[in-house]
Amino acid sequence: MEQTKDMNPEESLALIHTMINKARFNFSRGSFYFILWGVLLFIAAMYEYVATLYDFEMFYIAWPVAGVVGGIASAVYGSRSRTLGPNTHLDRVYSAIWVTYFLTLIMLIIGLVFAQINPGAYIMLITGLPTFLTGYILEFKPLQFGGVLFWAAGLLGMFYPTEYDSIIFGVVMLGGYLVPGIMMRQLKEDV
Amino acid sequence: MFKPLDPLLHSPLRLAVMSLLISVDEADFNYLKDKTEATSGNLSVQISKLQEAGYITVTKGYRGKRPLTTCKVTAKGLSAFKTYVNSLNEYLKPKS
Repeated sequence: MEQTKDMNPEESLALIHTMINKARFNFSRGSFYFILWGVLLFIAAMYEYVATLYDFEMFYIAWPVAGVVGGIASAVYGSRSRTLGPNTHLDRVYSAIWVTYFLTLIMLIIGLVFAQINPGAYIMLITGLPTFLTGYILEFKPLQFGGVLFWAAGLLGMFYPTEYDSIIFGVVMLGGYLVPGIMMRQLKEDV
Repeated sequence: MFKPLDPLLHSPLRLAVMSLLISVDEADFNYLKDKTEATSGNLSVQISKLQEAGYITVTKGYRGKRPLTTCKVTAKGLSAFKTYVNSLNEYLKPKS
């Protein structure tokens, strides 16, 4: 970029616009978390279904394992991804949404488990909020559909619990997290 | 009567650097070099000018074993940038 070139006001505004566009949300970086959690929670849900079917004593063990593995992987990726570029203001909004969701989720799960209520449907219902919101902010339709899918499955799950709840949960994780995550990654563009 | 444009910002590379920095928390030298496609020497000189004016802060440190220069826009820089954009808009307003 030349330093001596004289600019008129139109050129100055165009330059500002170009540079601000170059520093936007990194889609590829954001997709990692959706793919990771989509796969982990799908596996955990399938394990729970099979374990319940065969009366395994610790049928629930896949959930804390998925939580710990996902938490560590997310933290490691988050610290390494600093080298992929600086945090934009949108990254900060994105982080705030998901951190507050995570805290609410933990409190909800603790409360429901103590009340001996299966948390699956409630988790899906609350997961619709950050998923849809992220899709809306990024103007990325697959995540908006993912959010609606979580809401619909959560609402139905509360009214019509079935023995297939774990399978439904797993499939919804694929549709709500994994598929939008893969589509995000394929874009390989910043927005 | 038009306000004069801030000469520190009314220069392509410095304006590009400021535009990038207002969009992020902070950015390292290589990121700015990559996005502006400027040479290291030219970029260093312009970053120094912005720093001397108090528009940005420059922190030198390390990432692992590699030296890392990080730039961040200051409140004064943000205010100057806003004023500059407002002045540009004044210039571009249709005359009544």
